[in-house]
Amino acid sequence: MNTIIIILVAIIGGIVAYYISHDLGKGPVVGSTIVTLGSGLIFTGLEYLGVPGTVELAIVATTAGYAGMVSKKYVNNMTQMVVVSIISGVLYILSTNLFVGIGGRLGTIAAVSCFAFIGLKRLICYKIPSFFERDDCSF
Amino acid sequence: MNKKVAIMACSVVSVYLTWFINHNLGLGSIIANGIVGLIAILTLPKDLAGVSYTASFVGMSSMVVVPSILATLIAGVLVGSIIILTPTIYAGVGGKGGTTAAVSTIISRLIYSIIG
Repeated sequence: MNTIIIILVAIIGGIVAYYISHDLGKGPVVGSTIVTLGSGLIFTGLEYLGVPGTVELAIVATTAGYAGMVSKKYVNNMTQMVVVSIISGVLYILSTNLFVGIGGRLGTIAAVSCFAFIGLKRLICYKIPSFFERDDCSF
Repeated sequence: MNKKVAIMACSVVSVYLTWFINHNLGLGSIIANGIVGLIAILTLPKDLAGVSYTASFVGMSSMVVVPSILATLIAGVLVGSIIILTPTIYAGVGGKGGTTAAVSTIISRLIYSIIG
């Protein structure tokens, strides 16, 4: 599957989950569930209609949807969520053959994405304090 | 005490239900997780819906990893126990539930391979 499509789907999955969770105030479980069920139905449906390889995109969107469960304390806005989603897409591509079949694998990829982003943000807050708004570095 | 029993019950039911939809109904792990999450948010209080959703990740495992109802029971009890023991660790980090589920799945696979 094309890397760019995977990254784009990851971005959409992540920001939709984040938007439902925080901007609509429905909470992380609702946000992630809607992304998971929606992507599962859409991409599985496309696979049945003869579009090959789309089930993998459902997995990518789900992974980013799990990352979208992150608290506003760590990921303050949609731009930052896009970065987390890109990281989750890249990690998904890099870990295609790791822990296949283990339940929680996608959530673990999401967690690593969030930790990577939090680490990166801390580093930037430390080195270039003016990069983010003051509140962004208060976690 | 009642809360812990509720968490344990939600975990076990959620793992089994996801596993059943995934393998017995053949709908796949993503849709199974979505259905269980939807049922959880429509029927349970917010915190227990989160528990059920986390436990549901375990049921997304393949037949090689969680091959039977006994294995789902072991995995459900384990994920419930870990959720009870780690409520505040990495709270708010996206994917915490998945990591909890992955740890539970790996440990339950080990236990099942010994007793199964």
